[in-house]
Amino acid sequence: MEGLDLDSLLFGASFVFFLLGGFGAIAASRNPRIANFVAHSGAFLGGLAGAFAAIRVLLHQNTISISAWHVVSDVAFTFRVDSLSAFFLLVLSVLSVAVSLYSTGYVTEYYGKKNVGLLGAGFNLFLLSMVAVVTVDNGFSFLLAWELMSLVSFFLVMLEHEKPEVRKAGFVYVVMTHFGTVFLILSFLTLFFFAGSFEFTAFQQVSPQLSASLKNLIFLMALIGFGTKAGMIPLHIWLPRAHPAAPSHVSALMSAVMIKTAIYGLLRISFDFLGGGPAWWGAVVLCFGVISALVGILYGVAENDMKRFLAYSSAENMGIIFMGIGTSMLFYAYHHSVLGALALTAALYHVMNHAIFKGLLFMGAGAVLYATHTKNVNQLGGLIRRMPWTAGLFLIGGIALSALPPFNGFISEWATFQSLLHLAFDMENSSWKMIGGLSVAALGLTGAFVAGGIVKHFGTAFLAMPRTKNAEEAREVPVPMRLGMIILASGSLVLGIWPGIALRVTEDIVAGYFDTKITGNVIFYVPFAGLTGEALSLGAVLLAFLALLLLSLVFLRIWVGKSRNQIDETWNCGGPLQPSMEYTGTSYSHPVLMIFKWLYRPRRQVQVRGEYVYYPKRIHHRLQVHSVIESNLYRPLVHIAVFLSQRVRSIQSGNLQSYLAYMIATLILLLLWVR
Amino acid sequence: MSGQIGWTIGWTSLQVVTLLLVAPLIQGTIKKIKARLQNRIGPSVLQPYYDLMKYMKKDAVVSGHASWLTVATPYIVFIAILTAGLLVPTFMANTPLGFVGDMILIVYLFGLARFFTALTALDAGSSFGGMGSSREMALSAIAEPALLLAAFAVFLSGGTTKLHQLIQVLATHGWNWIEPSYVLAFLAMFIVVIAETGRIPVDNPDTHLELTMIHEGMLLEYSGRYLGLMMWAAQIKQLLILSLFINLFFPWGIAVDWNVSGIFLSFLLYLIKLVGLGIGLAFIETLYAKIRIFIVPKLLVSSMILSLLAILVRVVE
Repeated sequence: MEGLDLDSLLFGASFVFFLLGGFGAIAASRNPRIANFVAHSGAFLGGLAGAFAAIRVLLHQNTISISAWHVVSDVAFTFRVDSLSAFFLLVLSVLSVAVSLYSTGYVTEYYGKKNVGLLGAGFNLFLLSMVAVVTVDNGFSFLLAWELMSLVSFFLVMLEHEKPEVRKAGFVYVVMTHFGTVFLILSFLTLFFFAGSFEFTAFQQVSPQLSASLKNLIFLMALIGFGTKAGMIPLHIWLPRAHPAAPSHVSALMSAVMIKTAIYGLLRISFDFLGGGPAWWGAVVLCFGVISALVGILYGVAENDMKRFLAYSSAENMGIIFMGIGTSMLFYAYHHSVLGALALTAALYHVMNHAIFKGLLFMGAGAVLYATHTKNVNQLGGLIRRMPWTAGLFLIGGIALSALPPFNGFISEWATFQSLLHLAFDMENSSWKMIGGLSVAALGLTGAFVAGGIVKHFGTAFLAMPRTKNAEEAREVPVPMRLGMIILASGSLVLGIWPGIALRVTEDIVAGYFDTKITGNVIFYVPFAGLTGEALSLGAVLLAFLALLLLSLVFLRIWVGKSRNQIDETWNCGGPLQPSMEYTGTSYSHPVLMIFKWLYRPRRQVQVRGEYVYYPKRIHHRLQVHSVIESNLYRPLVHIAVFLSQRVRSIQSGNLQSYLAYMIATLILLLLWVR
Repeated sequence: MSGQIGWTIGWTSLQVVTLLLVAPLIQGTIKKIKARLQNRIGPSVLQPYYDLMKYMKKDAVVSGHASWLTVATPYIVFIAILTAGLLVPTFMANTPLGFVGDMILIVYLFGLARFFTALTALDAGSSFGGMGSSREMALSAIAEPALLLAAFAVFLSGGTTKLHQLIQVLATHGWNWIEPSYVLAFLAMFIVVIAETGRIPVDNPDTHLELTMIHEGMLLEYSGRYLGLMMWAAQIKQLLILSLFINLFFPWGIAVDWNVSGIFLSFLLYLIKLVGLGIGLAFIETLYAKIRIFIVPKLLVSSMILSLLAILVRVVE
């Protein structure tokens, strides 16, 4: 340890808490109650310490550097928390506080079924590895932490491995995450090859000397590697499988934080190491963002599994973040520093916002799962009466996800809109202007679909009458689970009304790359400095809203008096209403399925049982959505891989003599080569 | 400072009262013109006012299956639309809340109202509500970007999303019919106006209990004051969309500064323009039949393509 100042102490303390929580949980694994308490209080305290350290770094504009452990000269575990690291550390820590509170309730589900001690240890180790990913200062340890993060999350995904679909999800996840890691290793090794060291500072120093084509290569490999982790379409296939398969508190972390480490990595490599690039880098990132956002949400809307919908929506939100980053890279290449700063602020803001509301929504879906044991919305209904807290908090998350005012999603989407529009307004080149206009349309389309998806999922799960016994017997979740959600829901409102708070956190990072501060008054008003007149304040709008509401209530009261309600049945053309008559999730998304037939290629089977077609006893309806990406991109790849492995298998005879012969042949070839 | 606040409050109440009072009038005018075009006498122009008053005074019947959302939604929708109204220029280029919001916020406030309407349609468990809700969300997903794009095709000339700044630019530069990008944007926006106001050929505002309806389907469970608020909100939203259209494409004579005679003239012009646009809509409603629901996206996509063409033409210039 170099200096024992408060920042380093806090940062170190978060490590210690996570480790204590993890080991303590294993030690106490005989008693699930104690293991649960130890593991999650470790994660809670670790998160608190990490959050304080990050806030101190961001407000005082200093950096923490700790060299913990030198293995050999190049392989060192050195930590350096600058503003970019601190920002991601803050997001991670806040989420770990909320999620660990929630987990103390959620994990009780697993008492007696799973080893809670191991689960708690995995939870802490997962957090620890993510802290390491965003704070290490060395390429080698970055890759180690990255791999640790992937593996620990893989084991957490596989917790319920007795279910075949979980095993399948885990398999796809482990293959895809290593596919991405290969590209990251190649990218870092290329940098190492020229820098002669794994230190991040060495990477920064060597990059000006690299040729343009080499930089392009490093950037593209990093984009594929990090894009896989971010769930960028078409590299997303693991995401809608792994997130729903994992226990809900883990999927909240995976979706809220883990995929954000990819954003961290991409920003580190493209801005810090390579010092920005040509405009087409930005255009590539922007295009991938647009595709991820649109295709992601279109697939999401068709889902009836709450957690799968949320997972697809994560791919969509990562798309929006990529759009912001791509736009800022474009502006960077053209030296439009104010606009670039705005776009990067939008992307970082959305990183924070998405972490908050997606964490909240995954916890909400987890609460539904906890109470009803199903994620399929078609089997739910009427939960708003039995689970009012969960319903209200899920609704807040849903409004934020749909980017509707006054919650935080709106602000970052507004800023992204502004950046894309300024691509159209202020660029000299007409093709960029066109791309700006198209992206605006894509972002608008995305936002509207998200709202549709939320209405579908909230409406079918929480409103109307329960469709199954499980939904009928649901009870509100325990207080710690509610508390975890309340923290994030209030964060969502605060960041919507006072964006200035968030801008305090992002302004240093942005100033570091663009020499312009995008800042705002903390209390009321966000005049996104630099863009004359582009001001926005949801606080003022909310105030106007409340004033108008109060006035109209008073006015109605005076004019017509108290409202008199009569409770009666829902009108149903004269007959009694049965739960089976309600609109289901499947029927809800049917118009969208029909409009976008070319994308979904829906297959529909209807079997009518009964004597007459017009008076059926039972109708069996089955609707399958067909993923074009999987059948046209992944299936051929899998076929090729299987084909190649079969060819390779022919040398695998199981015969000892032939293996010895291979060895001798290899040895001879090697000797010939080194001669 | 206190003078400033008093002035803002006065200006805000003027805008709010205008919206509240003009919206039913426009609805009544369109209906009357439509009736006359169809050789009917039609109800009085003031009929929407009588309807609203009647709804407000009646008792409400609320479904026993419904939750608190059913009661809260009419207020949320009404106020969200009214708040959006503080951002839309009517007879003044300036707007009371213009300094803190822009076009994107307007579209998203409409989105908020639609979100709650569609959500509550599912609340009572009736299939009609679900049907209206699912159709509304599917179509609005395409109508919303179409509206944004059509507006942005015009916004390109101002380089800002602030309506009051843009309209000042448009009002001072005058209207240029020759410019092809404006004509394209005009056509695109006109399609969106029809879709967003829920009129034939996209939706039929006059039907009840038909499977062709969209917006009305979501309101079936509402009665009494709640229905009144929802109807009024829909009328105000229609007025706002028409005002946007008028001020983006025909900003002639709009008052830019505070000058009593100018404002009076501007207000008269605004009413005349609204009635003119209403006549146009009534003609279209009479001439066309409602189209099939799955054809509507094609209509909206053609609006989007027109907007993109407008942007392209604008960019190449």
